[in-house]
Amino acid sequence: MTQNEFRLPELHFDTSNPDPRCACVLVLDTSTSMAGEKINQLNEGLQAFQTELRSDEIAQSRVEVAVVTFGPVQIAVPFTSASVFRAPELVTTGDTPLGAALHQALDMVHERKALYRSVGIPYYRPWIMLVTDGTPSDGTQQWKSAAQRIRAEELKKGVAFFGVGVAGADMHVLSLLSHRQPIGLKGYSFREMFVWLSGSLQHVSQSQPNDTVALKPTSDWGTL
Amino acid sequence: MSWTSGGASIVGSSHLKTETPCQDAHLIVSANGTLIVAVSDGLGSASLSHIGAKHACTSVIHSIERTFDLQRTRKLFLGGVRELIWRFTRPPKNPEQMLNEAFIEAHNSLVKLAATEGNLLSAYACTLVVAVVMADSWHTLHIGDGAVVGIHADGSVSTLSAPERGEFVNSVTPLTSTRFQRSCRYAEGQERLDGVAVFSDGIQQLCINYQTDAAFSGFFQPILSWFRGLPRDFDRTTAVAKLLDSDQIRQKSDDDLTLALALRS
Repeated sequence: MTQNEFRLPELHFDTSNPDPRCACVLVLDTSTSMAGEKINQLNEGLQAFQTELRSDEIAQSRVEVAVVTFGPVQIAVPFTSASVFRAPELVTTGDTPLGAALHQALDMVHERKALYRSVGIPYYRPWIMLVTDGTPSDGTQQWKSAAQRIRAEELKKGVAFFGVGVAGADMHVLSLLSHRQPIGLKGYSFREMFVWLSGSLQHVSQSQPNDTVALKPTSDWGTL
Repeated sequence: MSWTSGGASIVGSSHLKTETPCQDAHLIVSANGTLIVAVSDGLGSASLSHIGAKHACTSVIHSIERTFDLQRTRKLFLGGVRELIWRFTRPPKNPEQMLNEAFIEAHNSLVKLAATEGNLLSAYACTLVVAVVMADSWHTLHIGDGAVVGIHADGSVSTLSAPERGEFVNSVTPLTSTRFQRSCRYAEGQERLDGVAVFSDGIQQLCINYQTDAAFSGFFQPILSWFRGLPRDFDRTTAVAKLLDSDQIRQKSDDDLTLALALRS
C-alpha cells in the first residue's frame, strides 16, 4: 500500500449517548399592569423566540423551555423541547406574586435536573429569566426567600438568573434577587430581548467543557 | 518488546470558525518496553490554554522520565508535537507516587510559566491524562475529561480511566486549580496490555458511553485493525491525523480532536 492507496476504516459511534440539555424557565409578569401594548409586545417577543430557536438545529434538540406566568402563578408551558415549543398567547390577569413565581421556577429547575440525572442525560447550567413591570404583591418574605435561593444557587453555579425590569418595575427589588445586575428593558423591545436570549441559549448549548460563554451585549434592548 | 504508536491533535471545526488555535496536545514516549502517553486539552475559557496543554504534556513527561532515570537516545519533532524515544534504565518503585509527583511538577511548572510571563495561572487551564504501560502492569492518572481505553490480550477494549463528570457538561476541574490534587483519579491494573488509546473529550462523546463509561467497540475495533494493517514504514502520525480529519468524525464532533494510539509491535 502506498500513501495514495491509504484507506480509512469505517467507524461506528455510540449513538446511545443523549444530547446534553439546557433548561430555561421564563418567568413572565402577566399582572394587569402589563395590559395593552406591553403584553402585545411580550407575546410578539415570544413568537420571535420560538422562530429563532427553531432556526438552529443543535439548539432545537438541546434547549428545553418552560414558561411560568404570574399572577396568579401558573405554568403556562411545562418544559418543552425547543423543537416543539409553541409560544403561548399570554393575557393579563391578577396581581404580582413575584416571590411565589420564582419559587415555582426554582422548583421546576430542581425537578428537571433530578430528572436529567435519573435518566442519565448530561446538562448545562439551567437559566431562569424573569420579566416584570411591577412590585411584588405577595409580601416581602416571599420574594426575599426566593432571592436567598437564587443567590445560593448562583454561588453553587446551579443556575444562571437574569432579571429584566420593564418600565414601572421595582429595580431595587430586582437588584436584590441576584448577584447579577438587573437589566432595564428599553421601551418595549421584548423582541430584541428574546432574540438575544435565543442566541445566548444557542451559544450555551453548543459550548464545550469550560468554555466561558461570552454573552452577547444586551445594549440592543436593555440598560444596566 | 517495542511499541508502534501514532498520535495527532487537530483543531476542531468550531475553533476554525472562531480562529482559535488547537488547544489539545499530546506526547508519546516509549523505550525498553515501557510506554508513556500524555494528553491534555486546553480549556476553551482560558486564553493561553493551547500553551498550557503543550506545557503540561512536556513537563509531566519530563518528570516521569527522571523517575525512570532515563537516558535520551533519540528525539524527533513531528507536527509541532514532540515524540521522543528514551532508554529506560530503572522501573519506578511506586508508579502511583511517580504519577502524582509528575502532576505536581506539571502544575508547578505552569505556575512558574504564568509568573514568568506575567499572566494569570487560570489562562493556562487544561486537563491532563497520563497512561504508563509497563510489561505486566498499567497505571493512569487523570484530571478533567478525556479518557484512556485499554486493548487487552484477548483483543477486547475497556475504559481504564473515565472522563470526569461534573454536574454540568461544560465544566471540569483543570490542572491549574489550586485544589487539583483532590480531583486527580488514579487507576492501575496488573495485566499485560496489548495497547492503549488516550484521547480528549472531542473523541470521548463518540466512543465512551455517558452513563456506563463503557468503551464502544464498534469505534475502536475498526481503528485497531486498520492501525495494525498500516504498512511498516507508513507514518502513523499522518495516518491518525487523517483519520481524525475524516468526514465521519468531523460530522460528529466540532471540538478539537486528539487521539494517541499505541500497540505492542
